[in-house]
Amino acid sequence: MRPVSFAALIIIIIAISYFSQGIQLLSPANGAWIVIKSSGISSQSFSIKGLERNVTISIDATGMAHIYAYNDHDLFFAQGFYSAYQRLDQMEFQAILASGNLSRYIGKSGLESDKTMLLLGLSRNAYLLQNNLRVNYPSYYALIQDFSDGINSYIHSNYYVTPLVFKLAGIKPFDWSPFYSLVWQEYMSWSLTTGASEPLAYSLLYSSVGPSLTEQLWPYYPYYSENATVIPGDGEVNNFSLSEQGISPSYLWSLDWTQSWATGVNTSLLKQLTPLIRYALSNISDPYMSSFASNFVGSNSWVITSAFSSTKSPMLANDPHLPLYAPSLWLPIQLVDPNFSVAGWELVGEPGVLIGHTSHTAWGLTTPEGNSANVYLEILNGSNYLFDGKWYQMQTVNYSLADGIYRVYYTNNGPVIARYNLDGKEYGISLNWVASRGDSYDLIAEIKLDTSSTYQDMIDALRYWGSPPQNFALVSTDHAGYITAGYYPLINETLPSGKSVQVIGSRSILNGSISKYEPSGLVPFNYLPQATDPERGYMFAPNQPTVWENYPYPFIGGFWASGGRAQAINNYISSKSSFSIQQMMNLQSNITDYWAVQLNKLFLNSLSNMSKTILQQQAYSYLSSWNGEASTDSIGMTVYWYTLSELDNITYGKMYSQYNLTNLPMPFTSTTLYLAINQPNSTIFAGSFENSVRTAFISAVSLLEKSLGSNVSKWQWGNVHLLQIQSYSALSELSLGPYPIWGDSHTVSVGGVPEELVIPEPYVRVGSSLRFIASPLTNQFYGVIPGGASGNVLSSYYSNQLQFWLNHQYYDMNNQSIIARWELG
Amino acid sequence: MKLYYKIAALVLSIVIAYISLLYTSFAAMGIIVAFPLFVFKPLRSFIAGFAISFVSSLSIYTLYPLSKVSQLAAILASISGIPSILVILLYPILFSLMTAFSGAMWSEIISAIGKRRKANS
Repeated sequence: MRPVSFAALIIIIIAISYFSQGIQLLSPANGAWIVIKSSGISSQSFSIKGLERNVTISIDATGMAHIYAYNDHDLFFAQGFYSAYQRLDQMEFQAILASGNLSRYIGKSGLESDKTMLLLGLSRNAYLLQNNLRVNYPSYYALIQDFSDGINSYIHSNYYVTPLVFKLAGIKPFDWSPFYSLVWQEYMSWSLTTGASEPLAYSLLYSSVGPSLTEQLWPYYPYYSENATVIPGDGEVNNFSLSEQGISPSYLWSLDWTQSWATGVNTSLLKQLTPLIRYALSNISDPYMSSFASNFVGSNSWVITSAFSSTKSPMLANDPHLPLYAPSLWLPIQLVDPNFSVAGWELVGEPGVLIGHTSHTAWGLTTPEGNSANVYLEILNGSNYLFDGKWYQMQTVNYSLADGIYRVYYTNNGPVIARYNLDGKEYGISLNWVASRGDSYDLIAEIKLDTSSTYQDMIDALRYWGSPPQNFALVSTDHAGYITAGYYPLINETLPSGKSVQVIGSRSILNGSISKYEPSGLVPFNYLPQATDPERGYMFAPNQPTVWENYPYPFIGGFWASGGRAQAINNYISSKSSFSIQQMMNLQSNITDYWAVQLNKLFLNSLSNMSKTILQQQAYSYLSSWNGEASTDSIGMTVYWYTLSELDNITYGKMYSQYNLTNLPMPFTSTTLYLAINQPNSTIFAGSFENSVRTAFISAVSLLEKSLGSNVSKWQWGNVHLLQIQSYSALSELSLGPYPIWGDSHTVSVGGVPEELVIPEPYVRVGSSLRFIASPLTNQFYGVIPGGASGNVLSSYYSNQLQFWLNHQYYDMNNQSIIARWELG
Repeated sequence: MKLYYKIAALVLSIVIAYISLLYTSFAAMGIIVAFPLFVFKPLRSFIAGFAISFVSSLSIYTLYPLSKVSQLAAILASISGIPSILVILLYPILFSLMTAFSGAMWSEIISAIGKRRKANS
């Protein structure tokens, strides 16, 4: 061979060698293909270090793992091992996100999210909580450590298979520790916390449109919420109430709680500080996760007492509305040893079962929407803050990020989330959040719930629950009830009448420069909202007001849901003389929009005498024969929804845009309904509700024609309203859907989207993250999740429960065949 | 070269190919896989190298259920923007080309060394 040819040969080899470096991912034995190895579930033995005795994991046909151990150490160790086997990449991603380390993995696009997490102090809170747990509750901490050790045992075992996302991103797993479980707890806690963005948004609206309109659009209690609170009655708890304190509820709730007597902040100053409020709102919203799921987190739960139950067994239903991810936030699991016998769902990355049942008890969670955080206006000077007339040095915490040092300042209230100079004076807003106390022993509460055998055991367990406060639906074999457990900070207020009262939260920003508005304690456990076996036979908690006006600690900072789901649940249950498991299921799958049924009557009245084009007449016909059901084949729902969206746009939207408030949430449909009935000539409707509805209807029909054509029979709700269950990796290839989906924001079976004038609507990405129905006395337990146990996209258990979920069907949790048995030892 | 040397070279090359495939993910390992093939003339070494690496790397896929291979190929294809079939064949092709050209190279080098020794003696 001539030297030139030989040289060419060498060059070709070098070129292939260079090019082949980029395709290691496709290596048949060590590339991405190896994830196929962990995609099946079959019986096998695992030889792992760290167990004291053998553990058996039986996996049933639904994908639920039943873990049997001889002691608690082995039980939690095996839970960690199994969780890592199924969901390691998800767990580690969650921990990276929550601890503010995202940019280390995905580069600069993760920086803003990291800054938000560090600003909120999630990892700082988690460290503090970890230390407190280790020192004060070593036996519980040991279980969390066992769970971590089980995860690490999997990572370092021969059975470890690199998850696909890790393969694609070239990431190696890091060793787990209790800190990561706790920092994810902090993240979930933050995502369900009320009291930070709500008072800020309220302050913006208030300072823009004034007190009267703000109160009209966002009343303290949403319109029509009377007699639909979580706790039945006027608000009295354990014989304690506002009246007991000599304060008239009607007087207290007639006051304007945004005035300076209540907040310590001059309202004209607040107006000047709108840029500061906007900064604060922006700084505390997580830019990474908000790109996945809009802020439509809610939940449903209700309990039926033994007196009202057709089987005389107390019953419970729960479906927490959370971002729907693939894989799910939940992992179906049963834990059994001499101390534990609990089944339900692990919040992935957390030891134990968060929602589930023992053989005698069952429990579920919803979010109560009352303030457990507060925002304070601070007066600053460089690195100092003013408090009670004296200057104090702010504490600083430095974090090293890719774009330099990120510094967080702390006043006595908490982290300074925004700063702003006004007329030579520096102001800041600080966040005082109960989770930063470092004593939210939620995992202890969870473990105690997991070992409960009576109603009282569950109540006692919840003494440890801190942040975020949750409505706990509880049933045992003989009782049913609720307690809104957790830490609610109290603020001492002096009413204009001179009376003092301790209230929960604030409507707007509080003065942080004086001690008067500092938290003065927490709502005592005995006076948390709670009731057992109510006379009417049922209770429900889909994010509506927790208690009515006579509650001894008024929820001034109560930013409740509109109550549409609460009304639907109340109407449904109260229409029955007794209640069965099948009716529990029927109610959980209810897709009638309660507000739409009422509002559509007003729409039809407004449109009846209007002259219409042929197309408008056809659309009107569908609207007039519509029963309020948001089914995928409904055309009336589509016409209603876009008419409502356009109505919102030409009323609230116009006003919001005038004040540059377009990022704020629109007032509830119940507000529109109330104003339409009581103030049809309001300026909000430009003097005429009827004309506004006509304009909205004409625009909506025109928009639908433009996007979907003039054949009205094609305007089905399922064509414009779609569900996508997105992968946390943002890869659409790992996502599920889109699927046509029923429901809207107000249906019990929820399918919430913002009222936007786009076709199709933005994907539904928040919904029933699991559905659970329990009846301990009759030993009936049913559940389903929109996904499956596996985090491996190639596994049939990645989405095996999804079709059942879409069809509103359930798995009998007691009666499933075992498809594989793992022996760990 | 005697036939059993040639058979031994082929067997050795196949063994190295499987070791490379199972324990590494570098297609450049084809250089080592190809070394025993120096016993052949360059063109035959090229053909033998290509065949050994292509077949051995494709055979690895039989470790997995084919339906899963196809499912994952579709996912990777969608992410990378290249056709599914290429996702499956790209590594075997590059590994084979690496082995083929390396085989020819080793054959040339050994043959050149042989000629030089002959000339020197």
